[in-house]
Amino acid sequence: MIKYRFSYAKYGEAKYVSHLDLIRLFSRSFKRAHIPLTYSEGFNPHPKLAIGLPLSVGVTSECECMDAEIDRPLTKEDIDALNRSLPLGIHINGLLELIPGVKKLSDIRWAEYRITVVCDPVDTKKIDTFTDRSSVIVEKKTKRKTEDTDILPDIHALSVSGVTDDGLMLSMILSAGSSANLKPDLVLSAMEQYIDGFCPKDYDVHRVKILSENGTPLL
Amino acid sequence: MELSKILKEVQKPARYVGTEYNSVHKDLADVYIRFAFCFPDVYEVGMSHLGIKILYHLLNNEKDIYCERVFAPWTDMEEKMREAGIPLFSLETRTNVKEFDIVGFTLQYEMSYSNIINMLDLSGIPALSCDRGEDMPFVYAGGPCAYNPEPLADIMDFFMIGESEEQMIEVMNAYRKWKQSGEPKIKFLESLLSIRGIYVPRFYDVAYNEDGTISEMVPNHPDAPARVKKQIVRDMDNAFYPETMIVPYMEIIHDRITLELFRGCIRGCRFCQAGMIYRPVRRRSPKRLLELAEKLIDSTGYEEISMSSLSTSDYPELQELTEGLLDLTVQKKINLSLPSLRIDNFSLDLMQKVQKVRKSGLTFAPEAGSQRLRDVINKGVNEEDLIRSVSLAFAGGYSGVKLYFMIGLPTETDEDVKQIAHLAHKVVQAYRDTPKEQRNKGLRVTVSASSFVPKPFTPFQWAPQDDIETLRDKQHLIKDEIRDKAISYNYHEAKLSVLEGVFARGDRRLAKVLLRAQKLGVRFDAWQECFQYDLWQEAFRLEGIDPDFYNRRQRRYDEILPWEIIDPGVTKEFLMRENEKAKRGEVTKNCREVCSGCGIRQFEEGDFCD
Repeated sequence: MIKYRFSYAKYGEAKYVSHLDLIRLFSRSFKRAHIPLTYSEGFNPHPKLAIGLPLSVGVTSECECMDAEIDRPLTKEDIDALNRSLPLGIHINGLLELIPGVKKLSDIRWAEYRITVVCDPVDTKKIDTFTDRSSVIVEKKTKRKTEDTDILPDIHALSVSGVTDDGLMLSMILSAGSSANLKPDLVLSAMEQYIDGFCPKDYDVHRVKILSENGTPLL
Repeated sequence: MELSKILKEVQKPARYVGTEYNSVHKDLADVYIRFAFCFPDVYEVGMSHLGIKILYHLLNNEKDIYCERVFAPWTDMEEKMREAGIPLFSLETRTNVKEFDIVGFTLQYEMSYSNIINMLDLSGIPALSCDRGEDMPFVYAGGPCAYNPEPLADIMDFFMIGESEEQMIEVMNAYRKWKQSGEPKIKFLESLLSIRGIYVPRFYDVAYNEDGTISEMVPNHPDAPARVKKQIVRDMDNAFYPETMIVPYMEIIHDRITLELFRGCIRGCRFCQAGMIYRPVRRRSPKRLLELAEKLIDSTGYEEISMSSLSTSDYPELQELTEGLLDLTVQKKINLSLPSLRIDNFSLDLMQKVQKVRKSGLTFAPEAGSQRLRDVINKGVNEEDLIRSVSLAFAGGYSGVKLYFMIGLPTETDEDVKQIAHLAHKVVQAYRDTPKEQRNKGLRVTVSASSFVPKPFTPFQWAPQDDIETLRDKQHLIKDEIRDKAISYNYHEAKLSVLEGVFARGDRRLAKVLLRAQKLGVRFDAWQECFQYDLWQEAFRLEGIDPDFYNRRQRRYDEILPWEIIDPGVTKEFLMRENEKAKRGEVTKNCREVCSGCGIRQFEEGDFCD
């Protein structure tokens, strides 16, 4: 039994596949590729698969990661077979054996996003200076109640990275993982609330990097 | 762009994505016939249906045909599509359904008819066949409900009656020929008349008596047959069966590989339409099924495989098949899911091997509470058998039992209905009689009562259906009679069963009610949260049609029934004979014991009844 970390991209129509559905999708794809996943013991054996950081439905990514235990060592041919067994829009682009010293999925702290926004022209300075204030208060819905939360501590970087014909591109680094997690959607709605004249009509979110403490790479 | 924005806002967007593993993607430049296979319900229901899996791959195996899937968008999606002016589209290429050559609907249950009208409306295709011009696709329907095509006669250009594995290719050949000829649409419909199992409603005229019954139904085209003979597959081992199946992204209702063991049923339950229209019994060999199983496991990666038929316990080589499947599933590390089986030592042993985890509920379908009524409906189960079976199950560690019944059966009295509760009590007693050291704790007996709907081509096709009040009284009668906390009880919405009854035995005049109801806003009638009975009542009222005409009347044997335009193989004489036997409470033995002379052996050249 060998532990591996698979990095993969999720794009196109596959962005509509939910986190739970994705785990099932991978375990079926491994079966189709004849790669023997290691199963847990017990009454209801299940493959040992863990996805690093859930990706919201509708978001694309080039940097997803998943840890899996396999009964035997993997070859390049296995990865090719796995890629043939995956549906359009999910593609394995890296493999790492999890030897001691490699960071764990639980070390995930930050994620970097690129957001393509459709909006009327806006003063980009107002966006670049958005995080200069002392707090950014938004209504955050939890299961039971709605409460005001300051999301500023979870925004580690935010800037305009480009201007397009019908809007602009944003780059953000936000808290991610089990201890603190901030979704780009919430930042956008806060920006809409705080920045005069910023009114997104539509937007697409793309995850660029998954990072550990202080922005060091996970892999 | 507009669609991708909408997909971010709706529930379960994976319903509208057509790139699942094993979905077929073709270069449109190589395609001559574009076929839209429409299932008039939501994705997770439609994708669970075996017929779509067979026909999708059968059609796509033809190089110049591209079959794509279309499902009914859920209400949230429909609202957004209408707002944005997005027409109904196919999953694979997101093409407007209107652009296809052939648009086919599968009719699995009557309560999906309003979705058909709605899907046509969303596509911008006129619902009535006579309103569709030369630029519009052909719209047809098939599936079990097509055995009474008449409620949709004004909507469909044609129907495919029976099993279409072989017929479909013939229809496609006729279409190819017609398309090359460049002739008007009517010529294609005419060319279909030489294919068995094709019903083209416009080639028949219907006249009515003063009392509203049909006085005659006659062809108005020289080539139209007086009755349309259903199409059947003769050799199951050589019939097309897919070796691959689409693996959906989202969880669907039956999220596993389905192996179809056989068609038809030897039992002859008198209420059961499937048991009549799918005759004769024909099976696949264990060898062929195991070969298919292995291919399907490898091509899908599914973690579960199941067996499908009308009565799996009647598969003669069940032991051989299940042994083979068990070996295969152990080797491939997947699960075997068992259908409900007749409980005996063999099946309990089998369940023991398969279900490593919990001993969840077992299902029994006595259908009626009293022996008298079980004899009337020819359900070959007696109380002794049932109690013996549940006792075996309890002793084997099972503590949950589900009992399925019907209320509203012909000749039913209050006493018969009360017997449903009494039978459930006897099941509880059987548990208490099981030694404590053998049985498991936590007895749960679930009694489920659905309302009987008389169906075409069954011995009860002439019977009146109970009205809503009577069904409700019977539902409550059971409730009042249950006196044990271990028994939980549920029943179906009577209004829905009554409406189903109207369309099951309806005629051509109902099309206008369907159109009206869709305009008033009915959708997804089979979904409790969507069913709007008051709108249906309004539609009947506005169109001046009395639903009672269809379900409250005792029909006479000499009445011309709308569905008699179809010949399903079982004869009217057989159905009449069975109905008379039902009245006398006489049972008919199963087909393997004695041939009951239903007519199917004379239906085909060369008797191949299994």
